[in-house]
Amino acid sequence: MECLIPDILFTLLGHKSEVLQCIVDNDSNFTDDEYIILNTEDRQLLKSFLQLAEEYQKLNTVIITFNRLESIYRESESNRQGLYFEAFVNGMLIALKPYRNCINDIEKDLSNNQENKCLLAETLRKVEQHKPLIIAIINILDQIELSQLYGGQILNLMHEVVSMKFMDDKVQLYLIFKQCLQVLISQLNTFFSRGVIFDPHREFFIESQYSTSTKEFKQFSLLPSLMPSFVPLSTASKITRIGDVIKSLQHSNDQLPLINYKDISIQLYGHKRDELFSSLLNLVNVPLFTKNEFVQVIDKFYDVVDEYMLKASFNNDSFAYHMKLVRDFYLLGNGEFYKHFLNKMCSLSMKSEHSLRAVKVAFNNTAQDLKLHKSMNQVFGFSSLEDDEADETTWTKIKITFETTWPLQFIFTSSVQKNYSKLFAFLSRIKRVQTNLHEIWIEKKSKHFEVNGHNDQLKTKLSYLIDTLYSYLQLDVIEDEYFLLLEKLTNANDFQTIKHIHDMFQTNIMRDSFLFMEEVYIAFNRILDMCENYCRYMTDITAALNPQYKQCFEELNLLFTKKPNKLISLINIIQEIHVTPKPNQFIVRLNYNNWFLRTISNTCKYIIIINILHFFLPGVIQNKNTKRLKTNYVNIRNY
Amino acid sequence: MPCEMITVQLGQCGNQIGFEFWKKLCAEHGINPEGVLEPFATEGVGDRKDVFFYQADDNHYVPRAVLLDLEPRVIHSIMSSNYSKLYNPENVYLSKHGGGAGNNWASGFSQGERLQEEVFDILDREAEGGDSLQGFVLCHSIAGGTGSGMGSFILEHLTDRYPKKIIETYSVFPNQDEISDVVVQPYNSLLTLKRLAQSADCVVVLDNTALNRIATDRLHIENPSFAQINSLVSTIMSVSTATLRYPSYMNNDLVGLIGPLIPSPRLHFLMTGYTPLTTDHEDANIRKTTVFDVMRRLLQPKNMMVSTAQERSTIPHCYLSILNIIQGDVDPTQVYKSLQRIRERKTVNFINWGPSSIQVALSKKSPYVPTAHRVSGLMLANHTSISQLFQRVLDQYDKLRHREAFLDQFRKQNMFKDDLCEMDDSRAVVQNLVDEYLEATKDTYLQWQPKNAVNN
Repeated sequence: MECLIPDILFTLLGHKSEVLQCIVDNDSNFTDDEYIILNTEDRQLLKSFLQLAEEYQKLNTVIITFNRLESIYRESESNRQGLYFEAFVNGMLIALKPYRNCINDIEKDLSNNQENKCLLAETLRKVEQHKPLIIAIINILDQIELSQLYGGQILNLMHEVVSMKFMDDKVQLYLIFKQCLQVLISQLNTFFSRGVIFDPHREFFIESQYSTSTKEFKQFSLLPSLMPSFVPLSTASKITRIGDVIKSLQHSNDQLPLINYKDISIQLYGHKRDELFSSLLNLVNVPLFTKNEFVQVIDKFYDVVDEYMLKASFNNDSFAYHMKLVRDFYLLGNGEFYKHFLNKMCSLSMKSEHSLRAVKVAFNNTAQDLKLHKSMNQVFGFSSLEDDEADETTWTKIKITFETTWPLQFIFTSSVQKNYSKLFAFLSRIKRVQTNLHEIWIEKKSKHFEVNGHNDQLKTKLSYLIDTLYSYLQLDVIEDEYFLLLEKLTNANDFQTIKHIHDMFQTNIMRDSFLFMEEVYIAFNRILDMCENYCRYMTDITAALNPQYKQCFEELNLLFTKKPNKLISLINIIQEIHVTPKPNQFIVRLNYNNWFLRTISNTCKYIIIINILHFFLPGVIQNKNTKRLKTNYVNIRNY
Repeated sequence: MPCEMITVQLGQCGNQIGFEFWKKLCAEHGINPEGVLEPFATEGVGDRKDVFFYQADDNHYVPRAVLLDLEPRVIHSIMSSNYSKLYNPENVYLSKHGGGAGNNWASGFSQGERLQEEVFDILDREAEGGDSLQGFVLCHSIAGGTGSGMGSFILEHLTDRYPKKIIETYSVFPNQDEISDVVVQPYNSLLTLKRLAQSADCVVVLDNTALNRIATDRLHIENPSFAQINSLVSTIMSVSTATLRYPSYMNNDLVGLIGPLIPSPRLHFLMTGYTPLTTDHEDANIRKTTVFDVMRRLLQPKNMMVSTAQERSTIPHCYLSILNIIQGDVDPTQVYKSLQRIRERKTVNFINWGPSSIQVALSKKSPYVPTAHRVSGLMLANHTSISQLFQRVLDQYDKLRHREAFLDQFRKQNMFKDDLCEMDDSRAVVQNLVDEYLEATKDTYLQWQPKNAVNN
């Protein structure tokens, strides 16, 4: 029996031995000089050996086939390719080394000491110690095959396996996990230093988006299905954000639109670079790798990147300068500039189209007139919100873009600029109407002596409405929020906080400027259109001949009466806004001497009272009996 | 391309306050008495010097100012001061005979007529020098001869010549608390008031009575000098133009500033208030001035630079409009809160016939002129009680006219050679103005029509 040991060992190393199989099977066809009759007990032993050998063989086949070149290119078995699977196979090889060593040792013992009797049972005991490991690996392999796992999923599976408590073979399986983890670490390593994804088989949980525009800085996105469970979503987003930062930095260093893979790690991480990367690479050697270790390392990277961005944002007051551009040009803080700019523009009504080229020319000319720095011409660009390629647009759809210096494109993103453009369109329309109404004040002042002319009073009321709206927006909304923004900034010590503070600023002013309330926004724009018509008629001597002239005045006069009109419904809606206290300030300003609401909305109260009376005293009230009704109303009021 | 303003200073008083105004502007913009930018001011602080100055070829700053007088004393003192090189000498016009107007409106008016070609040559040249002229600022007194008489002439003709430009005046009303040596002051005032009512777009009333009271009562100066009073005046003038000179998001042009203050075209006489006054700075180290403090104090009659007796009046006088220009270290979030608190206290009476409120303009302050206060404010207000000032002029005029006193001086001039209907006409205009202000206190103002409406 002992003479079979070399054969047995040979089989255990993954080679097929038909002899042993025949013996076990008791194959009578197989005869030999040394024909051995085995007793049942020995046969049983031999069976066990063969079983183990068979299991190992399965793994060995995988290892051997995988290492054969041609199999790598076999597209059909997609899960059996890729860096992670390769790492898994390598890990398997490493993990099974003790098993192979064990067999080699037995063999060595045998050849060194021929005398020494080697008991089959003893040998079996030795090799079967490795059986659970082999079984475990086979199970993992089955799972990979069955669920068609690949890439990050394999890593995830390995992580789940090694994270399970009470596993005898943890140490050996951990070796496989390490191999797989190594792949991820290497990928992160190139990603963090060059912003490049090395991922020939699309196994990484981050993919790059090939955007046509080099200015679009959202370059990387997540593939959650490939994300190992030890990578929380927040950490994964940090990783992509770092990638976005690297790409943008490469782009800003090198204004060429070419794809750039330059290593910018020294610039970005400074003296902390070596420490950061060694802590990343060292993750493989952490005795017990958990989510925490991974998150910590990524956080370290992220903090350094954030700090670098923070410094760059405050370098040369960069952020403050950009905010000033926003305040001055998007939000019309440079009132003088816009007075001249808007004078150069024709009607800004909701309908009329503007040539974007003409807008740009007017902008540049104004900048020149006011002796602004020449660079201003390059900073702002004009297009349409709806179509980037359009040559003209209506004013409410105008989009202004502005150039940012790194890293502020992460704050003043394309969508942020779109929002500012909407604010700009609204504010500039109001300012334009306001200026026009002032112009009429000058036009008509030489005709002082038509005392209390009806048009004069209409102009006064319209001016008051528009002036109040503009004061509310500029003072109560924008200036307030801007003040708070500057105050909050003094306490901000990371880039994301700055971004957050800024985003809050924008959201708040948009909300309080009624931009989120389509109904109010449109109503204001309609009133602005009406005011524009009014200004046109007032300055055009032939206007009285226009049939729409009378209609325009009737419509406008209606605004300041108790009859239902656009202004009343608008004010009613604003009064109903409770999500934010600001809009009420507009009403208080408008109604400061109680004239406004008394003039326009008495009827509303009156109608409500009538309705209440109808409800409680249905018999008393008859339609014709209005006199009595009014008496009742007066009584109720006095009461 | 700023919105330029041309300052025309007329007569003794006009030139004195004008002089103080330019000194203040120079200090605020960092321009030295010779028109050269101080080394510390070369960076600029976003200020617009070119609203009131232009730059000569050698880059030094020249005021857009025209100095006119019929007697040489004040202009000579300006031209012999260290600011003599500041002004464009071509813009300084002194009547050749130098005899003045003898405190007589009619003399001033007729000399204005005679000298109009030379004067308007200067004004037209100055007006053509600007890219987008906004208007003229006239500094004068209504009581003397040159400022009132020649001022009236220039006012009338400026309006005709520049109908689309705004004509704003800083008009000094005489001190009622002291006996004037100008006996015909009531005539002069009445005749000037007619022009202010008809030809000016906006009149900032500087009442010497109130200014002297403020100087004695609030600043504790026993016998305030002209210089001390004029320093108050120049403060008002400089702050009221601050939003034009330090442009920001609002109130960057004159029309935007005064348009909303004048809801009804003839009611264009503004009173002013300022706080804190300079000697208040004993308080500066114990008090933290807030926006609310400033806005509240601006509504107190004692800070008003017009002497009206609102509290004693039986007429429910009220505000047509208010603009507060607030300077300094202001927390903008406090502005609305202050407005709301003032509204809740219901101490401010507004008109009932139209919308009205307190407008607030936050303005930058010159970094070159240190101030003791964190926040300061100027109020420009359109208040019906200003009619008391005009009523006073009417009363004094009636007394004098009744006695037919001192009319000879007027009869010597062409305008009054045949009759005094110019005086009667002026009286009617001023009476209408007073009536209109009183009507404006009532709800029915919009239905009101002036009696025998005077056509221009």
